[in-house]
Amino acid sequence: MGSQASVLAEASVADVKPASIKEWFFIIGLIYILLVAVAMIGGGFKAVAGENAKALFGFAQNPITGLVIGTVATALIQSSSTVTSIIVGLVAGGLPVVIAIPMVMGANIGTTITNTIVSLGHVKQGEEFRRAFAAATIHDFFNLLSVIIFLPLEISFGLLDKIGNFFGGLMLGSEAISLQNLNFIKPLVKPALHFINDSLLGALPHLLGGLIMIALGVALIIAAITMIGKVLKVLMVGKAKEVLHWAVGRGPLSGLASGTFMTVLVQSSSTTTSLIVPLAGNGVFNLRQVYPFTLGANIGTCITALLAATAITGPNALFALQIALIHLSYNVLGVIVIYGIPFLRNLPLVAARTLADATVKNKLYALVYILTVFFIAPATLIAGSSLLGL
Amino acid sequence: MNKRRQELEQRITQLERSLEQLKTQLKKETETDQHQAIDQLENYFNEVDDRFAHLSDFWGSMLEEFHSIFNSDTPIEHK
Repeated sequence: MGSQASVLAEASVADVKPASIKEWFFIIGLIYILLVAVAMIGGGFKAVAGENAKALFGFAQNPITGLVIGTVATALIQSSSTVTSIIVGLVAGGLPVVIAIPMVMGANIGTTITNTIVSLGHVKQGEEFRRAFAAATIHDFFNLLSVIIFLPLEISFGLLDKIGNFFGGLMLGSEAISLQNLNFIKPLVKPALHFINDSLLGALPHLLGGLIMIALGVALIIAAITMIGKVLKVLMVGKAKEVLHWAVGRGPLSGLASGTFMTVLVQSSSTTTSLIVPLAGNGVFNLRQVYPFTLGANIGTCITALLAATAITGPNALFALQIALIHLSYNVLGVIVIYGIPFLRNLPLVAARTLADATVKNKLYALVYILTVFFIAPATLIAGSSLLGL
Repeated sequence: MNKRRQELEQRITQLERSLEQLKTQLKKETETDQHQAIDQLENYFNEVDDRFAHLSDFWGSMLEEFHSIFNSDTPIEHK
């Protein structure tokens, strides 16, 4: 079987069209725009709020509000990379890391709506729909369970904040592995940022210029990540096949690794987790095989925020790096804790299967589920936590 | 009695071997199907891009079931 796999893998590699240099330059240009846009958000917030940025974000001090903002924003934009990059920009602009942490957790939940929508396309095929819907919602249940475990730990002990402090300090502080000496991105981003700063903040009142910078930054991040995803899909389809062929028959760790690597290749966890839905729907991959692959997507998607953090200059650069590292640590810890403990590992499986069985019998469950997880529960949680004075 | 036991043991060994062979065969065929499906990855990318196009099917199906809940005369169709 191994030789057959390698033959198939070689065949798929042979099918890969030589990547166009023009397209790769286009990708580099888009990444540059993304980095400038993230830095613009930070600069814009500094211009608008100055030293009062913390007070500006006071409305999100309730962790439930932060969680809901992350969830709903990602569900609407349908890209966790976009939302986490925006969060990195906000942290660079003064958003405290402790407020940003529930937001990145929410981004994990919000991103799961995309593959659920993909699974609804199989609604006319009963058994296929059951498998597709279960494959989509297993990712949802895993991310919900992860929040249920780690949000209380964060609120009570500042667990993720401490982890971010540790790794951020390690990366910026230690001479042995300092990023400061290696960072060539900041000098590249600075000229463009200075030009935009001078053009907008020099010509317009500070407040208006700052607001325009924030709006432009957000729009550019959305546009850049969408375009990067589209171009990479074409450029990386051969590599993605190669990664998937390699993982076949190798067990859950390979599934996890292939999900991570594939998400890095296409720069979108929702693309990775959505791709697996039809593959599970037609019965080629079973739910247990799909499960670790979707978890790999959670880890792979962190690369975008880490990349975005490298563009941040000034005193908040460390915090921007911290939130990106927290995002990565949170997702890695989630896999270790939930997938590592058999009882916890089985909960998303059981929940996904149960919901899929119910939904096949009555499609209303799907609608109720989507509305509840992504919109009604967040609104109720905000109202409840406000009433409790959290 | 010993002969009978030996025969049974032999049969069990044979069955276990056959079962192992069948499992290997199934694994091989499953993996072949998986490789073939992976080769169609472009099509799945398209499905992701067109995800909203198929939502009308879902709405239709859901509304039909919703309607049937309030009209007990109409049987619910499970596909």
